[in-house]
Amino acid sequence: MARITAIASYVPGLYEDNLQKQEKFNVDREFILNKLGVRRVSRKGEAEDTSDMCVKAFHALPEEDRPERTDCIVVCTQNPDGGGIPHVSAIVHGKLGLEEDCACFDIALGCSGYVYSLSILQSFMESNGFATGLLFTADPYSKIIDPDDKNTAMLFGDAATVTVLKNGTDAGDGFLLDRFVFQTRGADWDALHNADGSLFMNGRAIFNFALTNVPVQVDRLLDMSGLETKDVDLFLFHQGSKFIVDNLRKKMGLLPEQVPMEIEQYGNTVSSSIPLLLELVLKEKDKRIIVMSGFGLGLSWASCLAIRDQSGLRG
Amino acid sequence: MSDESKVLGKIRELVLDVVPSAVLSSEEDYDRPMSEIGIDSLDSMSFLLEVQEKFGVEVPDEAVDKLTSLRSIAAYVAKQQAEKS
Repeated sequence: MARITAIASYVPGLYEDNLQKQEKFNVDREFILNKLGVRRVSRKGEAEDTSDMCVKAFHALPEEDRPERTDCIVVCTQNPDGGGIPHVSAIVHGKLGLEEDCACFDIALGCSGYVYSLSILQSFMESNGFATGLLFTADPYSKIIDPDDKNTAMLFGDAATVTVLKNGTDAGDGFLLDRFVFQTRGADWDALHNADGSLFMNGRAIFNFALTNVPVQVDRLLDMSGLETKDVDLFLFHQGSKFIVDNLRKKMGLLPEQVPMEIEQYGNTVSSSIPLLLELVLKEKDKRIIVMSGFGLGLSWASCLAIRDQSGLRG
Repeated sequence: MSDESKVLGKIRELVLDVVPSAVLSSEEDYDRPMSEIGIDSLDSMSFLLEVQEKFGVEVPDEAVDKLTSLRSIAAYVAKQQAEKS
């Protein structure tokens, strides 16, 4: 069974300081830091494209975590190079100079994209007998954000991640993907969408959707697995905003230490927000049972259970 | 006590539960814009979601702009409940 063995990330070095937008958007420091929870949003360089961000995430992998050969590359994005023609994964494949025996495809999903992509890549690897796959997330929303839109300009940041999935008995320490739940409410797609080139978000609709549905889905996932919330070491929620994550935690009666947050220094990075958290968790060996839950665009929400397994440790 | 007054009493409990820092020190505070009693735009989203769940009423986006004070919310809820019963 495929497991997550390594994650690396790339956050561009350019930023917009939200504290400098207080007057423009008529908000105060308390609102920015303690409600949105986003002090600054990361921004890619003008000449930098989605594939470049993926390549930089790959080069951030420690030498020992870089696979010698890769059977499959998946890129999860809705803001690809050149409008998606060709698929970004092929461009990344070319820039990394990988061998031709390598499958490449993109997945067009937003905030639920990481959870979906894990399941897709896991199944694809297993059905084709692949040993190693790379899952990239890179969704630079700065391409479609209106800088004058209060709802989105202070919230979304650019980032990319790469997750290494490996099959086999010598795959090493990692997280096995145990169980998934996927749901969609297409009737409400217009709460968050690309409106003629600019991102539109009905913040109240997204908040209500998340608070009403995510706890139910996570409860269902735990029921299917015979677990209770107290059995889970960490809940890695999509970092929609500090306010959403705080409210999810309160609604589900979770402890603050069960719900890590990483949004202050770069913002909501869409499908990259969960792997950015998981990258930190991989190093914490005492964290064994993890729930990941992504929600947003679609409207789509997906959750999965991941269990650390050390039986495949090398040496 | 009118239905609206009963709802307003429950609204007070609810708002202090959701936004403990809200300032409700006089009767006039129920008529003031929520932003003036310490309930910002995100708090009001959270509060209105609680109102929907606790009172079993729908608060569509079209109604939200008119619900600027706690009293206006209480009146809206009382009206919705009366229409349902």
